[in-house]
Amino acid sequence: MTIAVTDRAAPAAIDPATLPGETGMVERPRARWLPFSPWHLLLMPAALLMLLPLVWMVATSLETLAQTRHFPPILWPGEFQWSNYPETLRAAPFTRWFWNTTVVTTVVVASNLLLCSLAAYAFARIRFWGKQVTYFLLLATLMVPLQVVLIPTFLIVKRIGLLDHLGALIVPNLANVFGIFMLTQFFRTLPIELEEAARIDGASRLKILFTIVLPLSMPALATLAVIQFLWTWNDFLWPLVTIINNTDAFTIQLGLQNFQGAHATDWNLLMAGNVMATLPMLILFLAAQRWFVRGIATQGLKG
Amino acid sequence: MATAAASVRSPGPLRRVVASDHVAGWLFVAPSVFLIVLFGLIPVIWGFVLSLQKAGLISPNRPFTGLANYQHIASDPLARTAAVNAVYYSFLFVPLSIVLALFLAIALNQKIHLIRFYRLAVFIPVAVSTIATGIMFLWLFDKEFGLANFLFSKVGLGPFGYFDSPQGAMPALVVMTVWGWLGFDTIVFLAALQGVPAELIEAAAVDGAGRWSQFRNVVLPLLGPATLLLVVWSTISALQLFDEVYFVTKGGPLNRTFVPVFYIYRLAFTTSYGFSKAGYAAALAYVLFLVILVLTLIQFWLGNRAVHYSS
Amino acid sequence: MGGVTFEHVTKVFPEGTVAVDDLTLEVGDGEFLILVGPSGCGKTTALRMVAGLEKISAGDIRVGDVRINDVPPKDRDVAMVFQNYALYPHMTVAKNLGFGLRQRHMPRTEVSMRVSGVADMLGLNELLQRRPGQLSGGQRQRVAMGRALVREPQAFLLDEPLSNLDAKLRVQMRAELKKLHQRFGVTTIYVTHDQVEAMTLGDRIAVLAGGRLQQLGVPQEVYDHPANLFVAGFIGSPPMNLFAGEARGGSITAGQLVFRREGIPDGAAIVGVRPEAMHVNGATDASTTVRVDVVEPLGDDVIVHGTVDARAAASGAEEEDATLLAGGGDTARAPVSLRVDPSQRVRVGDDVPVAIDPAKIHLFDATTGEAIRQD
Repeated sequence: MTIAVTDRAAPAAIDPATLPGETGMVERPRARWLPFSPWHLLLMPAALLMLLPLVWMVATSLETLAQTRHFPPILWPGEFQWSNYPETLRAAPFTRWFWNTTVVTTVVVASNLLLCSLAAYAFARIRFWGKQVTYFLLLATLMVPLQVVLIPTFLIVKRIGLLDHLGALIVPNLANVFGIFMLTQFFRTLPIELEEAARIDGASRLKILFTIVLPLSMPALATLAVIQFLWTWNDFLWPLVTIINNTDAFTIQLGLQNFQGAHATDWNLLMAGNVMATLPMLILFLAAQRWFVRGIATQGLKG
Repeated sequence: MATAAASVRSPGPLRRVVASDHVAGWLFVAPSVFLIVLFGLIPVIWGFVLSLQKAGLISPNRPFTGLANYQHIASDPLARTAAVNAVYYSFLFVPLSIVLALFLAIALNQKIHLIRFYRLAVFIPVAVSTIATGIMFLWLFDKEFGLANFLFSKVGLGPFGYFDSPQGAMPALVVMTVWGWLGFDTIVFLAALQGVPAELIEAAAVDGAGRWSQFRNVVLPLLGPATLLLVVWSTISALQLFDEVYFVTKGGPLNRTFVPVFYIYRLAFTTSYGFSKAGYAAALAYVLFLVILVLTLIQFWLGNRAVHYSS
Repeated sequence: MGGVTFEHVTKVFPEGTVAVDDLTLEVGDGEFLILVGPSGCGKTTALRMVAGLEKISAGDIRVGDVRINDVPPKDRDVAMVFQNYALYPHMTVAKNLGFGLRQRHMPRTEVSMRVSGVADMLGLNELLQRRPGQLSGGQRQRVAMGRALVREPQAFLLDEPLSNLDAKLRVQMRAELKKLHQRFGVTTIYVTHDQVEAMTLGDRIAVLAGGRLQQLGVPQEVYDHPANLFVAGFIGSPPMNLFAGEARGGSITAGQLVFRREGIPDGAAIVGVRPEAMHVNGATDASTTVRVDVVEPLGDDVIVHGTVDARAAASGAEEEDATLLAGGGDTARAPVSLRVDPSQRVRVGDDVPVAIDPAKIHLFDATTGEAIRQD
């Protein structure tokens, strides 16, 4: 009769090679000639290279004009010229541009969240006449590249009378097919039993959508919001085409382009303006990177 | 005893529900469908109609000219230039961004210290707009005072003309756009890498595969679908390049960065070639669309074959 | 030669969890050893350490007399069957089977010979050109087994290979596995949480809980003489009935149940009775009455669930608080299960007198849980 007696003596010393962060595989003991993982040798230069333009932009934005005209380039301005920023704000209506872009983006994002949710819920859960055909047609528009619809959409917007107004930037983008597609896929993954239970309890479709489905869809909605925000904020071609004479309706991208045209060699001011224009998206990205990454990953993998 | 009323069945609750479903469904999709039809579907059709007309943007007079616009494309030297440049750009942009992204994704998949910093650094350029990127790189690539030439001079290279040089403008554009898009591709690859079940790699390890063999025989084949998607996506965006060209190089120098969408824009929305030639531009747009479609189909067909036979 | 030895093996994960605590056991050459225990008990971790998929924090593992602690998985000459099969989805069955051999640079002819040999044996011949995605669960399982067999390793490591199959297929594959082992006689370590599998398949079973070895022995031995409360409650279905009892002067009392056993020190003790050791209307010294709550006819047997006048004790092997309803919420009575012949017509609500063979009663120390041995 064999019964192993559990030896309660203290276990032998722990092997120091099992450090946190290692993948679980047994490998040869770590190379001792480097105190850190060799991956750093690839990643650190890569990361620095990717950040270089941004860092260089910030550094330049704090230099005087004379410093920017210096060769070799001054990598670190001794004294920070914070005055560049107010000067840039005075040199061009950045605040107006920010305001315009914020208005447009906020309205577009909010509208998309609402309209795409409604449509996606119907496509995902409701059986209605013509559903398949409609869905297919909508998806088909995704295939069509921008330049094909550019001119006709311009003509339509002109016909409606929205040209040169912020409305031209808002109205055509109120409902994005990508958003409908993404939310439809997501809604389909939710367990239908929850909704069926609510229906048996007598809730209307609308109520189900707002009280059950949407609260469960926060990740997808956040992802959609963040992606739509990025697209709309950074959009250039469409504003370029529709806002022609009315500089009051410029978005930040148009404004930047305009500013660069006027101050092509005032590098310090140009960079200050660029910093201000880019900062909102950088902050949003840092705050919501999880949603960005998730959005891009799912967008890419689901094709 | 059944009454006459009871023997006649009223439209039961089921029928009412079904009817209300149709109504509900349409109510829910109506706003979106309306907008997309108006700003998405109709333009597609109208675009084709335009391409058959001799039309300007403003002029109400749009006579039909049949396929004249399309025929003109064949003999248009600018169209040819745009096509050549589009191909040149794609051949540089697509392989470079995908290969770099794959390397980066593998590196970013390691569990080491600072990995969050590295990931952030790679992803963040995605958030920067094309115009802002253009401004940064105009400064970076400034011939006299830019950092790039300074760094190159330290290793005995340059100075380069970048956007001002006929040979250098396209490569410079490629560098700039790769910088902007690398994060996107890397995220997709990273997600795909993380989707490879750990068990599969473990099985390969126990089966006798070393690290490289595990990668080559298990991971890489499973990255096939993601790679295909990225190739298709990158090619499509490469062929539609506009913002950077318009803002930074204006198609030059010497038309070396003259690309299709830039040409289309100029034709329709400016008077660079005389009056607005919206009809011709629409035709060009449709041809480009066709090219993209065919290319995508070929890529998918080839890609699926490659994925099928890999092992 | 060809066996696997664990010597004071410990695994501590970076977050501090001790998954395996000082495990020492020896798997003989050609032996079929089962590591069994509830989830989280460390059995899979122990297996993975043999494969090389987990680093060994302390102790040594030997495969065939060779200490393999620092040897990478590919050089260890072991083959593993994963719970989810881990078949390479982009390769055909044939390529899956031959992968390990090709990695070891075996000549093509020999690879195809071995592959077709294994395919013959497992009935995979028509499936050779298919992809895993086109196979059923059972077929995939056989391919996973084939991939291990074809390598002819020193040891097989199986990680719950049958748990993803439906019940009928599982029973079938159990028999197949046993036949395969009899035919090839390769040292095998098999991990499962299913004690029925453990009992039916293993030459010996090792019961683990909390990373520690609870008992090692041949199945019948572990069943008849559990070393502690945990093993007693884990092995056997329905599980052993446990009551809180009191020993005084050689007489042990657990509620209504009273019996004698010499040489037991006075004090609290836990009394264990297996369901089949309780006989309805029998006549022995130790007896009690069962109030019947649930009757489960199985065909040849009937399982009766009820309560007795005693206080219940826990083994630590329970899955959940399923005992809540058993006594009708009455905590003054302990739930019991017993096996009854169908002819005895026990009905719900009956108060059935049962007798227990005192020799078959297990006693456990109330504080340590260790079995109190007779003499």
